Amino acid sequence: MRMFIALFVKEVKDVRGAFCAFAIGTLVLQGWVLLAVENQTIGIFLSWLPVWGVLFVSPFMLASSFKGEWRGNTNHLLFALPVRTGLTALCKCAAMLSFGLALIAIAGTGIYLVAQRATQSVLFQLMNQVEVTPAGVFETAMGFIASWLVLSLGVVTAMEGVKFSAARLRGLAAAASLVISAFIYLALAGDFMNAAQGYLSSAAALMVYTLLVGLVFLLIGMFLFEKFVEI
Amino acid sequence: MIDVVDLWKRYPGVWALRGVSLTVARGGVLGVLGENGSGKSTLFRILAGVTRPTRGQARIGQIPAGFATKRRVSYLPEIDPFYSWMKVDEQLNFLSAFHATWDARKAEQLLEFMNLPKDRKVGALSRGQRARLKVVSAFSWSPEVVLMDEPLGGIDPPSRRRILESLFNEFRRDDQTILISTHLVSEVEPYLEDVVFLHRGEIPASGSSSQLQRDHGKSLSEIFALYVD
Repeated sequence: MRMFIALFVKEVKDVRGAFCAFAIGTLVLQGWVLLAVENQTIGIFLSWLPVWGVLFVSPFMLASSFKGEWRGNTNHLLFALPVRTGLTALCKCAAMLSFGLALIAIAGTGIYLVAQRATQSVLFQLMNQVEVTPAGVFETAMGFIASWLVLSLGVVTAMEGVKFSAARLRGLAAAASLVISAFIYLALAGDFMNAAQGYLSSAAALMVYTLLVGLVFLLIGMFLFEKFVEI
Repeated sequence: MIDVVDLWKRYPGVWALRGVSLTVARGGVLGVLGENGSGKSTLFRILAGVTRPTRGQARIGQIPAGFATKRRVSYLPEIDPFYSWMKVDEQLNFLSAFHATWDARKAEQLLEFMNLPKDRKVGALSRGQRARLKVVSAFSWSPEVVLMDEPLGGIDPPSRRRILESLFNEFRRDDQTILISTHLVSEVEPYLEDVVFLHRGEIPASGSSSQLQRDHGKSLSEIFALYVD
């Protein structure tokens, strides 16, 4: 456990600069939306931007973190430590997931505050017409975002496992891994949704499916690092 | 302590090791001498458990080199493996979490001996200082085996002799097995008990340091020159 914590803290420290920049950016944007943006619909749209930003940037940051170990030769240090190589991959993913979830929580608070004063916006009126509550929409959206974050980080971990397992043509291997991951996710979604019918709502089923596929890809990535990746 | 039997390693397009075999007894000091590209680093990586052999076996205390042996082996790669954004003491604290036998007092002593500033970022250290930090990280705990791949690179000549002398006479445990590779043969010559020469992934000559010198009628540096292309 001590080793896991040491690795996790190392990864968190590695991304703390980006975290602070994102957190400050989010607070500034949402503060500005709260104080200065008159149009409530535009305000809600703007308040969601940091969430999409985190969702988009996190997988790239994870890939960059793996690449950085090779570029900086720190993979020699990391791989020589008496820990499973798969655990080092897990720690990277866990740190990035924490980074993403913490920022989403900060952004989510801002969205909630913006939504509190946006009851007259076009969006809220539309929600009333289709009989859904803003709170329900918010919860579902946050659930989807968290599951997409897990999926994207899992896919990137698997991709990095494939990439660094390959002796040559690593870029091609990584691209092929991404395409195959996307294909698998889309190909099995229908079957899972059908199987979950009656147990879960469509939204919840898709969320659970996305989360599970993300975890499976994460495990595949850890396995590849453990068994095939070497210096 | 170390048994390497018919070890082969292939990288895309090239064989780095071709049937290397060697044995090192517990507490022995083996010099692995060879020019760039002779396979020294590959051999060390396999023994450190960070690279897998294509064929053959490398065992540390009867256990195949890999995850199970990493607790017993300290590996100093030729390149700088440290995180440039960490401070020196932060780097050592990070490493201490992985080694139960980490001795913080010894680490302090070594830092002082190597004249390394604790609060400076690794990225701001000179090449020689980073080489010293590698030595500190390797000897601040009690590994059974220390693999030092070109450990003297970047260190100025007067300091090299002082560092080597202290490492072998003061900071090293008597039962520690040490493998050291270097181009600077003349400087490590007095400390080597056994030597293997690596040339294009093969061992053309090996034996005890004194025996090799007697057989060839030359110093190890002169014998080394015979195996340089």
